[in-house]
Amino acid sequence: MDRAMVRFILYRLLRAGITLLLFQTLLFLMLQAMPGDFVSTLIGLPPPLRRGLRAAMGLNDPLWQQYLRWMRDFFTGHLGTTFRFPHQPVGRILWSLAPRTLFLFLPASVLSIGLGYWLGRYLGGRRRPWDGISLTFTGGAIVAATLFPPWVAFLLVQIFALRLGWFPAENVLGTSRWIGVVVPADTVILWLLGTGVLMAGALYLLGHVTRWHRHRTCLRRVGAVALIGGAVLAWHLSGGGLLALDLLWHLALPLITVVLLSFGEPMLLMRLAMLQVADEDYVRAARAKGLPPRAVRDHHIARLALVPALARFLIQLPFVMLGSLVVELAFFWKGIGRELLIAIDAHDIPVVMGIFSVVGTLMLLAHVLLDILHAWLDPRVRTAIGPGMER
Amino acid sequence: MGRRAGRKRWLWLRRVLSHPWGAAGLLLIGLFGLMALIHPLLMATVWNRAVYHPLVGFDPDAVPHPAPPSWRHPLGTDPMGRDVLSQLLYGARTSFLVGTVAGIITAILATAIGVIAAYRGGWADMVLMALCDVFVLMPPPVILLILGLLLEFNGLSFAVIYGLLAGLGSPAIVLRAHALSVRVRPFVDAARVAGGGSLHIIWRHLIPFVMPFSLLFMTFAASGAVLSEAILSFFGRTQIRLSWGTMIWFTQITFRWSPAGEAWLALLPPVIAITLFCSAFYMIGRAIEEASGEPYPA
Repeated sequence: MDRAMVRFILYRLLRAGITLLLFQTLLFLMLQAMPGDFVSTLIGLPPPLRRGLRAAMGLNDPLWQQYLRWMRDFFTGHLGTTFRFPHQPVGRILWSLAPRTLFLFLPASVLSIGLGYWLGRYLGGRRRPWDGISLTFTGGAIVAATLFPPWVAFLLVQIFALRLGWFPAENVLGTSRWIGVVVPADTVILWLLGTGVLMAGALYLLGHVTRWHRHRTCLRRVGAVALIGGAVLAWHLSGGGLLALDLLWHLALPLITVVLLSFGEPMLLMRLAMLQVADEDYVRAARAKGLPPRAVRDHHIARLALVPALARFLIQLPFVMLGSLVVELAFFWKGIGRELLIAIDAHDIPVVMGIFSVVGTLMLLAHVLLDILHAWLDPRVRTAIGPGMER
Repeated sequence: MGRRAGRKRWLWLRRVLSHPWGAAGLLLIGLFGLMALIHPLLMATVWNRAVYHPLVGFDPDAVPHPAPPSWRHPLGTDPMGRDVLSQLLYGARTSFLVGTVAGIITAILATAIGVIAAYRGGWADMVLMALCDVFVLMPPPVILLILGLLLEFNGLSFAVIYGLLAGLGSPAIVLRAHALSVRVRPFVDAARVAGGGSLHIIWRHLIPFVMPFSLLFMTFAASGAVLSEAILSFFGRTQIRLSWGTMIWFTQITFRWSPAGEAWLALLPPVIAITLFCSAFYMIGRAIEEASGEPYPA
């Protein structure tokens, strides 16, 4: 790592810090401007009690005191105390809701990027960009990306849950299966997520280790089957297999909804990026060498095309999040999105602030990482820092 | 020479319109515009106000409501006896207003900020970009969800706020990057040496160059605004009296206790309208992206 890179990272972090400070301030001011406060939403409370509650919650303090208190709570990671339940830090509420949201959101993002990448690679590798198949697929992706989310949820529930009865409607878990189970569902969800991440890592390692082996295709297939079989067996032996299956079964419909709504964007981007890269000289050289078209497509064009597609998807992530917020509401999925809506209605400002600032901070982090990655890949970016010079 | 250069400048627009998705999107938008225009005409001439009014109309001859499609009511009636086709046409007006106003505000704001930041540089650039960095973290639909408690949204105020929030975010950053790439080209220096003022350079050289990208963000903002309006109306967060989103909301709450078969058909008209209208803008955006040959740098 050279000095220019270190300077770039420091500069970018400084800018992110300023952004975070401004973001928090703006958020605070916006939420303070909301009419009424938490106490005014409680009906039928005698005025002395109201005064006492306001004083206890610190709602009577001058604005700058509340502001400083919020900033302290944010930067210590405590995130304040919710109004609705006594002495519950917002941080703890978010931690308790995070597994369910991640359970929906993480597989959904991975699947929609994967599906988009795979379809886009296929479409971008076709000779003529505008034949029937390409038109059908791109048109389908455009329509899917603009579908009305609550209606998709409604439609899938109508067809697959109420008519066909294949999947359950509107819940996170089936009650009958969980009678007498001492393990909380969130723990099972966390274990499932952990299994998924471990499996992905193991599969990647497998591909990497067998890279230069003569029978790599065969080895990879056998290895993948062994890994997946091992995981299933481990779950079965631990006794949580049926519980996990129940959770996954309930996950299916919301997952399909989110993937359907969000695979279009990466697919269209990937296709466009593929078409662009296909004219580069090194691609022509690879073709001239006599490589099979499939190898050129997968290893030469798609590799470079993935970068802009992935970058754009990262930027679009809040909108995928928003989509899953709507899906959470439609499926009564008890996650962070649903909590946000309830908190807004109850004027529970600490919770709203907490959710916004956590999501905002994560997004900011994603942007910073993306910029650093960009600078790492492209040396021209690192030297050009300072206002008016970057990019 | 000037005329030829002018013609070349608009070449991208022609390429967008000859692109399959660009043409399809424009056609669809025209169709919806026609729908919005035809409603007052129909109300004034063919349709009886008492029966066909989208909000307070009632057809006493077609009971029980909701009635299935018939010649009198091509798309049937809703549970309160109002004609669905009339509501759909009226909703087109709301959505058209929301989409175009939000799109135009986004495009103008983002272009102005991007071009000024790129041209001025220095402190102006730093302050404007710091502002944009903050607004990138605030997705307009979610902020509108909170502001819904603060303000009583009608179609216009919703569109204006959506446009302001969307325009201050990533569009301005991307447009600034594009404007910056033109500013350093020799012909801008040449224009300045030849005596062109700042306004002249911005107007004649920077803005025409970033125009395709402004239009791109305009289409994305329009499609996002229409979809957000529908979603927020669906969850009862706006005071918009009648839009496609409120139609879906109303259908779903009134059909909740009826057999699923009827809700299906009643939901279809507004849902199809929303999807087609949003995808029309989206298609044009895609066509611009493909005509300019690159996915816009994020």
